[in-house]
Amino acid sequence: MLSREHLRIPRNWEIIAGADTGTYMGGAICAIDPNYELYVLEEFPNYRYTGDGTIELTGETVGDWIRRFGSRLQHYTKQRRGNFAWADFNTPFKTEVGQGFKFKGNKKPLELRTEITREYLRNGRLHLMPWLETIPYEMEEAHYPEKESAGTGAFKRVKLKDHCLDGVEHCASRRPHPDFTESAEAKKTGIHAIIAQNMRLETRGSDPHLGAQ
Amino acid sequence: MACFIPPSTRDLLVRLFRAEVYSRNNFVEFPPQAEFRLATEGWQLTPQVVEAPSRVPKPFDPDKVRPEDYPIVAKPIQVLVPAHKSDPDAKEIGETGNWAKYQWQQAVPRQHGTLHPDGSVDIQEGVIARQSSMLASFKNGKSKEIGMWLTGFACLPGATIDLVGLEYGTSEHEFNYLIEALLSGTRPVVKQGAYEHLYNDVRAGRMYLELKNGCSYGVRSYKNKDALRGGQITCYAFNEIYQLPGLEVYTGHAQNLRVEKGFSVFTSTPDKPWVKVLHKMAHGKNPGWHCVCDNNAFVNPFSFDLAGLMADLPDWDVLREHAPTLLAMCLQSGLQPGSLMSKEKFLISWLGQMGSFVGRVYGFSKPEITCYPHTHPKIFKPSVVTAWNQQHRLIEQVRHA
Repeated sequence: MLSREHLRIPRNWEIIAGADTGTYMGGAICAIDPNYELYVLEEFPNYRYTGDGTIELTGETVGDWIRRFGSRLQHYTKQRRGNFAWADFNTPFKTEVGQGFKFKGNKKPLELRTEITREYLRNGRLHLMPWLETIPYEMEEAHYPEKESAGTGAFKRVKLKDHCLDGVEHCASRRPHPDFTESAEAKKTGIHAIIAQNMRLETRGSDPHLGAQ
Repeated sequence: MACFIPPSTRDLLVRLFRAEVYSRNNFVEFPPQAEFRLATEGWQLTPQVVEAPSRVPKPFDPDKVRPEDYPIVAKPIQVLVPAHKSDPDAKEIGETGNWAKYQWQQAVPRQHGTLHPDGSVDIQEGVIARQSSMLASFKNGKSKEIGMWLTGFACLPGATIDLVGLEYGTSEHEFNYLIEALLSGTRPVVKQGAYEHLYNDVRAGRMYLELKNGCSYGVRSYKNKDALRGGQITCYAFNEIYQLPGLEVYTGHAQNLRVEKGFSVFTSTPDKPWVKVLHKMAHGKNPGWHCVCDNNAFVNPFSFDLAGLMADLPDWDVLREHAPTLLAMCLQSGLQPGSLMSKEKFLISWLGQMGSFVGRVYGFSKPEITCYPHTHPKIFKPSVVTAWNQQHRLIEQVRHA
């Protein structure tokens, strides 16, 4: 049986986290490899789905959930402080909430987040770990409103059963990129520095996706 | 209880008994129904129409008692197909406005080829599909077929058959067809008093038939899935499987079938992307799996409603692209597409199609995007990858052997 303990994430991979806060809290930790493949490593729901798809809380407190999420994030980033997870822009948890991490507001709207995640999936660059249960279910359940089933990306998907999925979409929508250099020294000089710098510059501007300028 | 008859003998008994039940109930299948049944008996239905045999063979001949007397060889099968009213053999079906006729189609043994390292190929004939799925539109005859198909197991002492659905009501029709075929009629297959228990109470969740020979049929709700664990089961029938969370409903309970080499059958409208797994497993991956798919509502002349189809049809292009055989009939109807349904809903509801799932945000099936050590070795520890690959090699060797 495979488990998260069997993972080995190379150091030059980027770790990124996303979450949805509220009564139902869901989070996801992802890693991106040098080929821009996005791996969803872990999910953190404080709820579960019953056989007929009804959602119910597990009884985990907000504090416990943050401790669980934060400690796993620390494990992956190898940093005790400065970790953060992308969340809805209107999240009330903008200051440090525990375990040395906080939430950052993601200004990208839902339809853009969804469309970018679809793009990853269409190109075969989104991968799920075999122990994930909630995210695959939520991805399968995600659908557009009945009257707008064209899936053009111009419409918001239905906001139902999507708390952990929100976390994945936040991660993907940031269009994360890996650390191309093998070491910090190499990053300072040579062609790696130019590539890395240009990559950063490219992501600074507004996202041209779907024509949103 | 458990059934101690060896699987090969059991399969033969079930096949003969089922044929007898069909015959007594005068049940003639539609082609998709026949394809489903035949696959579980070792045949493959072909579209080739043949002459009706001069004498319809009896399912069981008391003078022939050896298994060799009932080989799996090519044979004609009678089916009921929709027909145009100008066809001389066509008969009108009640007041539906539909016409249908009986015809005979050729069935041939299911085959599986094994390629040897020296390039030679071994062909095995009469391969039985123990995991068979029927994915079709609404009103396609899935419930009727499953109810009738399950009657075959009634001859097995100690057999246990579970009908699994999200709720008890999901399997209500299948169970009703089953008990109707076995217990009703002027010449019931199971005579009055030849059963120990019969309960058919959907609301109380008590739907159970136990025959005097120990064979039992029980309806199970997936909401009480913990009760499904353990036991020795002859057959699982998963009804409307799309309502269930995923293929783990099968993989989580398949171990109960192993002792008896039991059957798992799945019926569903392909309304969820994960159902595609059944389709993919069956088409070329494993001869033990079979998938009857892409069946539109037109195959059932008892319920097909052309006016209803036209009301729901989004536009002509949908028929042109996905069901060109229905296009001429719809054009002649003089009706225009009503666009009551989106394209996706129409494809599922009327044409039983699967694949694109236009209205879904993420069209995928879980196995396609899940990482395993052999597909993504760089993300797992080397020791895990080595152990996993060894295990996989072993599985491949066993499979090859």
